[in-house]
Formats: sequence, structure tokens, C-alpha cells
Amino acid sequence: MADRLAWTDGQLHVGEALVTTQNGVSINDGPEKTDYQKGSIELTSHRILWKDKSAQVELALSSVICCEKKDASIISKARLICTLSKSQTKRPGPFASSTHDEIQFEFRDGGCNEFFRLIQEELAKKRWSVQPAKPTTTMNAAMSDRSHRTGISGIENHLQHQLNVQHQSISGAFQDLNNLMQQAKDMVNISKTIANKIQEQRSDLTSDETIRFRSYLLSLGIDNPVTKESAGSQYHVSLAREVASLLEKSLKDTNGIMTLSDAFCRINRARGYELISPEDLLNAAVHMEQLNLPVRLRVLSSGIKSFELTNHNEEKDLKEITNQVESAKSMSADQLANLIGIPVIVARERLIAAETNGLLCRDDSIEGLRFYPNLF
Amino acid sequence: MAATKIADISWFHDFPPFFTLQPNLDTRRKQLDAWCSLLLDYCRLKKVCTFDVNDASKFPPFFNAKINRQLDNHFIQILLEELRSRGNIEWEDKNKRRCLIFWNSLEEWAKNVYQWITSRGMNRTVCTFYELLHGDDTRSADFHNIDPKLFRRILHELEKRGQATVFSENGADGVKFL
Repeated sequence: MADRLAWTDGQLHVGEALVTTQNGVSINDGPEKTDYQKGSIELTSHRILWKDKSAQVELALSSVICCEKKDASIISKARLICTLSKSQTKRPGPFASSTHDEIQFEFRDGGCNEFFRLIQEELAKKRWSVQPAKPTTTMNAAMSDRSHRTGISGIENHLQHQLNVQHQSISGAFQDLNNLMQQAKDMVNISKTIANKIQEQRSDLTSDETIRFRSYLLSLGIDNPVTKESAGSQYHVSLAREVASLLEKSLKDTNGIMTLSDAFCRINRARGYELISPEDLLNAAVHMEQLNLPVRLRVLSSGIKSFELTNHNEEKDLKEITNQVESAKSMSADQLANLIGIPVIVARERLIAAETNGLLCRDDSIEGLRFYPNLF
Repeated sequence: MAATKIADISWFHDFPPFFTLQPNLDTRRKQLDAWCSLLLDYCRLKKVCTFDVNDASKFPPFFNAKINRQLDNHFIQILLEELRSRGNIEWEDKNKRRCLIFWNSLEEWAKNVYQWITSRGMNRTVCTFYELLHGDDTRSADFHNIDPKLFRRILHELEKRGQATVFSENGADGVKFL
């Protein structure tokens, strides 16, 4: 299969070792003579190089399936017959195609036996697979000169090369992030182990240290973060359940109502890794009501979306707020926020809701917006 | 008449939200009712019969220095329009600058005046505007010292009812009650 022969400049590649040379060798395509007669053949750890005054060709040892020696006879000298594998990529060479699947080297000046022995050794060692030979820099320069000289394709090659370098550096950079995520996974596993140990009460922490640690873990540990992979199309539904269970505890501290942005921060802090996007949270939130979860999404009158407990009684809440305002004679949104520990935006919304229900009335002046009990 | 504090007329005047137009419509309804009562009572007390929009900022009910609150122009406009729709105000000009204030309706006024005249037995007598409005005899009357424009309107109303005749003699306006 003489079409496996490729043009070469005869230079040894980096990592390639010369084994032996022999003169007076001709190349035959199968049993047929070719134009390449009486050249010098070189065996290296990676290739067979053949050259004469007009041409230099190479044959990769990786394409040689096996070798045979044919002894000299009356009609021919000793020959080396190499059976070649079919090639995937055709490199430019002297023969565009071939009908035979073997190539023959005819040793006119002898040396066949020695060559055969050495080539068998090299084929056994397969040094080309252990360390792929890289072309030397001079060869590279020559090569790139050649590719630049070819104009547009040279430019294209250059751009492609740039792209590859970039791609590699980006992958390299993200390697670190993968490491980080791996370590975060480890941290979560450690905290889970400790949590289990505490549960079994085998550690020797004092009781309030235990309580403190438990409270940290409560905001740290989720057993099985729902990811897109694990849940697929049910992702948002499962995420909704997970979010609801986490928020139920937190909502008790924040007076039963929490803005979506606060919830987003808490949830991602608790997850540690496999963070969710704001969109995911929103999509999960809209499912909550249908699933009869203890937490639901609520759009306040100002347009702000927030989470509230499903058993949150609006009337009771507003009455509470009215009582607060009454006892203080009048109140502004930030005063209410400070008093009951909710965000100012939510406090303002609550006051306006109470006003809409006729429980409060407003006083808007240069001193700001304040609310009074509705005495009208 | 002892100086009356406006807050005595309506305690709302000391309530800061009173000066903010309430967005809740039910609350607003009650607020406007309170304002109209306050204004009409004030005008009745002080015998304020006309109002000029330019003087609004100086009109005592419209501000309360004690709590540092005052009505903004928008609210004043709304109040005046509310009063007009209740028949307590009539604009004198197209531009809505000056108006007549009716703390009593015209019918009430007419009845009021005619009753007073009858109770004094002054039917079939001729009186000048001046003596009726500013005379010592009429001091106890509601119409004492009211704006002449308003008085004229009341008398025209009585004319329409055939209870009086208005005439002018030597530049003085007079009326004969029938």
C-alpha cells in the first residue's frame, strides 16, 4: 500500500532515535516496481525513512501491521514485505492510491536480515506509541513558513491555532474551579459526618456548643441538593420542595415574610455548591402553591415578590401592625422595619396594605410619609 | 364672640393625616365630609361669604401651624369642587378665582330672612339694604353683616317667590317685604 508513503524532509523528530541505515534499497508497491529505486533506507524508533537524490519519503511504523522477510531468489534480491493498515488521514505522498495492502523493500546491496531483525524489535517496542515524536523546531519553522506562504489558508491555520490555545487556557482555568467544587463537596460531607456524630451524641462537646453547632449546620447542610441532572424535567418541582423546607424555618425568624432576594442569598449559602440561579428560584417558587407546600410565593402590591408561610393570616398580621402603630401614635416605614425586624420595603408594603384595608391612614408631608390609626 | 380655635370646630384639624389626601377611597370620603363640615362651620361662624383662590394660603382652616401642616393646591381644588357639587359654592367667574359661599342653601336663606322679617312684624315695610345688613336692629340675625352680593341673591330668591320686591332709589337699594 504505497499510498501510505508520505513526503518528508528527512529530519529526525524530537524523541525519535535512529536505529540503522542501509543503502541500495528500492521501494515496490506490492510486488510491482516503482520509480523509487536504489535509495537509502533508515529505520528509526518511529518511522522508516527512504531517500534518494530526488525524493525523500517516510512511512510511519504505526501503520505497519507486520513484516516478513523474503529471501533472495533467482529473480530478485532479498525483500522485506511490510503489511500496512488502512490509513484514515492521507498525507501528501508520491502515490495517491494503491491496490495492494503491502509494501516491499528490495535490498539490492544486502542488509535485509539485519534490517528485518531490527524492524521486528522496533515493532515490538512500539516506541512511537509511548512517546509520540514531535517535529523539531526547524521543521516547525519550515512548516509554518510553508503554511504562511500559502496565504489565506495560512491565516486560517493561524487563527485556528489561536483558538485552540485559548480553548486550552480556558479549560485549564476552569480546572481550578472544578477542584474548588470538589473540595466544597468534601466540606459538606465532613459537616454531614459531624452532624451524624452529634446526633449519636458520641462527641464530647458541651450541650450549648452542640446546640450552636447544630444551628450552624441547620443553615449549612442540605442532604441531597437537587440538581438539574438528578431531577431533569421535575427540577423545579423538586427544587420547590427543597426551598420550602429550608425557608419554613427561616421564615419564623423574619416575621413570616421574606423577599425573594433574601431567600436567594440564604438558599445558596445553605447549598454551598450546585448553586441555583435567580431564575431557577423564581420558577420553583411559582410551583409552590400548587404543591401545597408550607411556603408560597406572594406578590406584594408594590410588585415585589416575596415568600410567606401558607398559614400566614393576612388579617391578623395587619391588625398586629395597626396595634403597633396605635401604641406608637404614628409610625413611618423604617420605624416599623426596625421594630419588627423586616426589610423596609416589606414594612412599607405592610403599612400600605393596612391603609388599603382602612385600618390606617397616611400623613404625607415634607417630614416624610407616616401612618396613623384610621380615625376618620 | 370669644376667639374660637379651629380645632374646637373640628378636632380633625389637629390630626396630621387630615391634610393629606387619602388614597383609600372610603377614608377619603369621610375625610372630605369632615373638611366640608369644617369649612362651612367656619364660614358660618366668621361670616365668610366670599373666597378668593389667591388668598387660599392665608385662609386659616387650610393650614395648621401647630402641627406644621397645610393643604396643597391640589387638595384645595378638590375641596372647592366638592363644595361646589354640594351646592355650597358658586363660582363668580369662569376662571374659578372667586366664589360665593353658601353655608346655608339659597332656599334656607330665603326662609331664614323671611321668617326673621315676619317675626319682627316688618312685612309691608320698606327697608334699605344697609339697615338690614348693618343696622343695630338686625344684630341677632344670621344675615347680619353678610356680603351684599349674597344678600342680593337672597332677596332675588324672595322676589321669585313673591315674598319681596327689590328696587333702587337714589342709588340706594331697598326692599319691600310682602
